[in-house]
Amino acid sequence: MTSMVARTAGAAWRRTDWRSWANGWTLGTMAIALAVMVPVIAVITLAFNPSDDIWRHLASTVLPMYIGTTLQLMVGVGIGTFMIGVGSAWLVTMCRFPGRRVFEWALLLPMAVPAYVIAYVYTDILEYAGPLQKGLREIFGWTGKSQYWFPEIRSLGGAVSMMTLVLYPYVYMLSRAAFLEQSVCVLEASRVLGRGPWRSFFSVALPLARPAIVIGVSLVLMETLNDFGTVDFFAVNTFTLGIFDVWLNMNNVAGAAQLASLLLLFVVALIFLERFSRRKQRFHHTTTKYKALPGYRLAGTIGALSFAACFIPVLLGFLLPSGVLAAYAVTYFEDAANPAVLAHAANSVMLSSLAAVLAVAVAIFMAYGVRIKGGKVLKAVARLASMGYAVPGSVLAVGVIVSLASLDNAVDGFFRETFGISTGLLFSGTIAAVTFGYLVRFLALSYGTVEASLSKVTPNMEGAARCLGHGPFSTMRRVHVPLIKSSVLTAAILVFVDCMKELPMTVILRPFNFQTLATFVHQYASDEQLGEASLAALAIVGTGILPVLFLSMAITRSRPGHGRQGEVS
Amino acid sequence: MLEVDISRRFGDFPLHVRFTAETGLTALFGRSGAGKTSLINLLAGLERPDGGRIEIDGHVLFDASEGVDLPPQKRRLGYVFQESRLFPHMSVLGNLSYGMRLRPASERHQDFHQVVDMLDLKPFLDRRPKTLSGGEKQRVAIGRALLASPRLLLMDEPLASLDAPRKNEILPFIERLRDEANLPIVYVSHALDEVIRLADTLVILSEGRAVASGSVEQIMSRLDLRPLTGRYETGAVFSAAVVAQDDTFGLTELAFAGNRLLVPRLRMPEGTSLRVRIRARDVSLSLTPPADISVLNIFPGRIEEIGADGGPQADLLVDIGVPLIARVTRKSLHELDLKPGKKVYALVKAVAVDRPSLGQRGTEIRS
Repeated sequence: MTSMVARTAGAAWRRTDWRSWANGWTLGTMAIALAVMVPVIAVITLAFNPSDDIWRHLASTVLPMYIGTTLQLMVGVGIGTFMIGVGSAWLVTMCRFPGRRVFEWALLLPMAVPAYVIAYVYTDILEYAGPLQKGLREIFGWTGKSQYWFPEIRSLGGAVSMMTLVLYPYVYMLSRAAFLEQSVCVLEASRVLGRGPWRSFFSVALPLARPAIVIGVSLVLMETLNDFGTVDFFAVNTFTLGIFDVWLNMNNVAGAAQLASLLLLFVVALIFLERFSRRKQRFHHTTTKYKALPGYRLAGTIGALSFAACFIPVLLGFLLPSGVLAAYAVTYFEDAANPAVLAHAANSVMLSSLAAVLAVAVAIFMAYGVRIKGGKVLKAVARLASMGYAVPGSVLAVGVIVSLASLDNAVDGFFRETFGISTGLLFSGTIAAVTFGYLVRFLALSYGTVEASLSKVTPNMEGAARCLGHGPFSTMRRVHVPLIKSSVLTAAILVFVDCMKELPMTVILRPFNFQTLATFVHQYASDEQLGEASLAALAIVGTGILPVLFLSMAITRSRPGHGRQGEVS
Repeated sequence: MLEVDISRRFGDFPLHVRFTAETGLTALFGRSGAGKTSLINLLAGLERPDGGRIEIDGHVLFDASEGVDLPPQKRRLGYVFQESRLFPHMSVLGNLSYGMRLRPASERHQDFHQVVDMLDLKPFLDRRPKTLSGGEKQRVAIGRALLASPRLLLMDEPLASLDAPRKNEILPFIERLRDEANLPIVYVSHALDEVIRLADTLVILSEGRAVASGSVEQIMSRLDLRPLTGRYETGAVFSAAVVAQDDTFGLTELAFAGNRLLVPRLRMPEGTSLRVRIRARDVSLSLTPPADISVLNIFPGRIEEIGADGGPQADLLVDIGVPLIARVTRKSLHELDLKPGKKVYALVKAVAVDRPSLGQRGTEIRS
């Protein structure tokens, strides 16, 4: 009898309260996801409904060059980040040599420097009129360019080097986590079976870490495709540059959209690669038994070489460029610290904060919706909505412009017909447009972080709150939010920092005469006025260090048994 | 022959172990925390002793005074870990041949096909480790270690992470390994029934030291070691041979030291040599030969030694041709006035001798 009552009451509770709420969450999540996907859909739609036959024209002129250059860039950056990232991760994780503890986190530092910033700095140092070549000419008494050979920084090779230097931390981070996680136990097994550290690395450690390394490299390649500042400055004709060129210089939106959707094919391939590796990663878990790492002791020449192998990436990727910027900032302080720069900084902070708050709020809503409603469809929709991180900023910029333009036209048309007034361009070229672009691209960051921490809150807690009479919204506010607060903050900071660094979308979507730190640095440094832009660039790098700190803390905490307590087995 | 004399400090736990292991299976037995796994890691070269010497068949693996410390990959010791530690990215075949391929053909003393047959690995050569059961994984791990043609095989509680049925499934394979692979084995365990079943030589570890070593029979008949081997498990071990089968009642007759022992049916051919453990708590004593009693095994003997520590019970070492331990109450000890030198009759119920108390020696098993 009592159980009957309970069951009926339970059913009623579920029907009246749960269902209607769940529908609200479902609809909301769907609506957000759809809105976020609109730019990409717009690009593809436009590409397949060309006003005139641009395909053939593109294919016969610039397309082969774009594809070739982009592929070369990807291969170069892929190999470079693989070598530096995996090599340094292995050294730092498995060996003991001077400076190892510092390198553990210092190797992440170059991540704070956007590729375009490092490109400006190195151009300044390495170009014909730069201090290095000048010095060489003075020492050897050369008078002209024809008397000696010096690598041209403004080249494909230069772009590969710049991107490698600041993107290898992705590979480093992921392969280090994999090395830490794969438990030294299988390595011991390999050693007692007669293979030394080197052979064990190639036959066991590397294959086991392969999924993680592939994820790292595919993230790097996504960033490579996203880059605009470097390729623009070095005039390396990649897809991204092509999109801008066709769009802004040839004034051909449809052509840009077509290039953009071709570029999306590259992206789809990368996403597939990444997802596939993530799935594979689960099967490569070795054992739950953890022990202290072996710590091969490297001394003498080998120790010095290991030190150099870790120090050079940090030096070239972070210390040197930020040192040069700092020196410039001191020398040109009066030019660099003018009120206009402060205004740009305020713009940057305002835009980035807006996007961060929005991205986190949307992420919480979506993650919670998926959680209470579950269901395959909703999960798939949420996943699609968080694919923006893979889409290059140039593609999103085209998509946002195109979709907002049609929205503006529709609104304008409606008001014209109904009220006889023209609303003009309501959204295009506004802060809202930039923020929307940021949201689309960085939602994955906030969604991933929030979802991960939400999944750690057990359903039991939720059940307890619900049984105590709280509805889903109240449960979220009183149980989940307090529990996931720190992750929410992390998510906000991650989005904030990436928005501060973002260049390609900001350049295009910003309102007329509106500068952020990134666009300002881009504009000035492109005009060879790095001195004036030094303080602004330094500010971007400074903000970028924040997530690096988070990451380095998280990575040392990630492995059970890692650290001092693991030394006795 | 393996000769070990090493010391190492782990925090405030000092380990100083000295023992030798001849051919056959040497069991290192001890409670958890006795230093078993640490010792085996020191032998394998995964950790470094503070001092001492490790030598096998004249090859020095470690010598602190001479500054010799071979890295693990140069020691040629096979190591079977507690958890199989198979390489998840390789097939079973890949795992098996991993160590073998490095060994020049002239140094290989294990034949691939023989090992695969012995461990019955053929059905899953192409499979990935994740598709194998715990017992199957452990068999692959044994095969992998064996095929590297080691000078000695180290086994660190290879059955500890398996449930009882899996354990019984794999024990015969280890017995075959011991009898057929012609390789000294050092086997670490805290399970006495495994040790009794498998070991030739027993080394008892306690608090980082080897406190006793000798044949299983010798060690198990020492009353002073009872606290280390576990009171509940106390019981003498001796060798016996199958001499007859009683088909009418389903019994098997075993012979030892001029006596006969009846046990529930063992499907083994006559002549099979066995190791028998009779738990002390399964042995009763009588001053006169009892009549009209269901107990089938009655052995005349003489009390050799009495171990009593003031508790309610006492263990007595009785010589019945081999040492036998009997556990009686202190009350009985008092009322029967049991003293060393006194003649007694030891009573052993046939049904008390169960399968885990029997280990097979030297002949092929078909169970």
